[in-house]
Amino acid sequence: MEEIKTKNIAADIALVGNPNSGKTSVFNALTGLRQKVANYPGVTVEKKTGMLKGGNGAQVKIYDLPGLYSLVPKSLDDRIASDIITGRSTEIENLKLIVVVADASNLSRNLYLVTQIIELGAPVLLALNMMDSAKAKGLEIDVETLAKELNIPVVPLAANHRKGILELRDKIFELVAGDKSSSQNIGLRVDAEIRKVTAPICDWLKENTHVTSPASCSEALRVLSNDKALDTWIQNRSESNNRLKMVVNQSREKLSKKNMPWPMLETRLRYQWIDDICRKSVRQAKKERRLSEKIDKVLTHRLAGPFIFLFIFALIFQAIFSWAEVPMNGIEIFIGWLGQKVSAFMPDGVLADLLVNGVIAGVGAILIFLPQIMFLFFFLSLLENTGYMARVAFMMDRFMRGAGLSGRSVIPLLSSFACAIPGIMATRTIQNSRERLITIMIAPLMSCSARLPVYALMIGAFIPSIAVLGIFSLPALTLLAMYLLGIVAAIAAAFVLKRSKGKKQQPSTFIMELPPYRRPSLYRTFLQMYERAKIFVTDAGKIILAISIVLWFLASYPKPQTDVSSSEAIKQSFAGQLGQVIEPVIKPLGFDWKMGIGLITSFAAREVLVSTLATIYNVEGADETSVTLREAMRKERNPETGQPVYTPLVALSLMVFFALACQCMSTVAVVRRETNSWRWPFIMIAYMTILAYLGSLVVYQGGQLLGLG
Amino acid sequence: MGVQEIIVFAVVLIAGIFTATKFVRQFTPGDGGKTCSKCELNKAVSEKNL
Repeated sequence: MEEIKTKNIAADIALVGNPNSGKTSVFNALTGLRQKVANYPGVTVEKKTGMLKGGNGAQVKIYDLPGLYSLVPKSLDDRIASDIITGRSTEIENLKLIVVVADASNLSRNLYLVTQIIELGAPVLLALNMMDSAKAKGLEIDVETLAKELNIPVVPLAANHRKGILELRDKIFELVAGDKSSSQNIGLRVDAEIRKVTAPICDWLKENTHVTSPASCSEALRVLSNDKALDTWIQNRSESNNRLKMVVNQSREKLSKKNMPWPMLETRLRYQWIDDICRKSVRQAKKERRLSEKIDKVLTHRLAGPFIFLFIFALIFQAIFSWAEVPMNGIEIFIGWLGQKVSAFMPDGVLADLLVNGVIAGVGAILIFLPQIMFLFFFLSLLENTGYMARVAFMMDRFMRGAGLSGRSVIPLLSSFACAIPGIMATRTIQNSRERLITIMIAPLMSCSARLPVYALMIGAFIPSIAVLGIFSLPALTLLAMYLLGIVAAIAAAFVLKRSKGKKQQPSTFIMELPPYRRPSLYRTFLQMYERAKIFVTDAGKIILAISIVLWFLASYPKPQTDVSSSEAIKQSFAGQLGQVIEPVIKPLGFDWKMGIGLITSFAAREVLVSTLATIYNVEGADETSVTLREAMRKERNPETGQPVYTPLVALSLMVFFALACQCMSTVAVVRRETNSWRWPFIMIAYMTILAYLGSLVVYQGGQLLGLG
Repeated sequence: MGVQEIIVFAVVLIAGIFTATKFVRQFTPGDGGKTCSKCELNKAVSEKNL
């Protein structure tokens, strides 16, 4: 067999570009990794690393940086990318090539960053992505002319469909291997007057920073035109703050005296240049009204839009319940069969008891909900990749503004539908610290996928499958109501937190470009669904397994001294004793001590409630014929009154508690990390627990008063 | 105590240690808080400037 020698080339490559230009798609296609991709801006908030392999086995390290519109950073994630590209940060030590990914269907806007990076003097390669979308828009791009105008190599591609990826890879290796220093010799055409005015800033940058001579003039213009650009240098070099500030102010005054407005000066000059490039290299073949705009007229309509959103989500929840039923029944039957086989195979004793009533019952009970979780992610991924979620963000923006937050909070909140952790990480795009903190505090109220097994268990067992309006079912609408409860609670909490005492800050500005609707890639959709399922089974599965084992022990020991019934034995166990201590607190919510144990264990992960109940009921009913968790819950009777413990009202009360409570240690840990304090995670746990308790109390006691108990 | 009990207690002990370790690790930042060293929010929280 021929030996393949792998050679690592000592070169780092940075992948940069505007948000939603498809950087992560290019990164995934080049490296074979599976970072999250969606059709809206702000998905990547930290730099990601991968290895790019060349045709000859050589490898280089490639970094996927957060998207940014210009080299002037506006938020933390912008700053990560901007600092690396401009050399303010040396996190990437051996940066040999910057690959700028640009959206060909929005060339003019994307060239803003491209031209800024070209002026830095580092070797640049332009990956002209989404050529298919540009073509669909009727744009014809002359790649050769564009390359000539920019004086850099340009590779056209459609990363979504993996077109042009090999060409891009080969070009990267060609540029890295060919000892090519900065070859660009182009830049903004700045007239002599402005050049003279910016010269002192230019000199300061050359003397006091690493900025090279060719790049210093465009950086000087940026510093002159923009206070945020000025701040980046002032923050880094406090000792010469005054000198730079003074030089910049003098230059600004000179321009003002000559009736030349300095704000946005760089933007105006740059777009003059870009317009010239586009005139030469882009041709608009047809000018018909775009399909995306026509669809948006309906989907984002002020009144119809929110109803269409509700309709789409009701249909999704309907599909989750009906389509997942067959595979769920299959898994349920398999788990029951496995339990019986293990019981029959193993001799009676504690080991068999642990395996059947602890491991198989606990883990099995949660695995049953895997198909529903996979369907949820299938639909969320479809909505993200078509571009509909960006429209949801646009519509939610109106409500968020009502609560005093900017639209920047919407994307993190939408990410929290999958899991609050990436949602909280995504708040790094919010530059206003107070708004960011509030968004972090409300993100866990959005119904994440870990709540789905709890909702599905309660709805499946206690909400009758009645048809509503002919096409919907009551279970699907109940699930929709739980998701809406989370959204409404989040907006209300933001409203209260925003008005609480605190330092007033400039509100964030948020301009979001609605991406065109795109045909979703089924490969990517299934991949995302598979990835989430894997995380659920492996990551959550481990902790569910461990807690099921510990809980089995707590529910089985100490063994009673006298011969008592299994329900009395579990009451005397460690878990039973603990549950009875907390029972008086949760009794007003309609919960018994077994649910109380579930509330404690589910702090590890919300879905652990399901495995906890399954383990407790299996330990209790170990000497009876095996029944499913749903059946066990339906059969459960209060030993004092003989009344059913679970009613539709109790199920609703429990769902409301889970919709509003902060039952997730990973979320608390991430909030601790992001705020670098214990104060805010504790405030979050406290306010969400109080909210959940009150919400649940109102539902249960109110329902009883109305005779629904 | 029989062999079965010993095995069961060992398994329960391992599961307990795993759960506790997972809990402790969650609250120990792996990078010593470096991730957020540039974070404006961190500064604002530490300066109680919110």
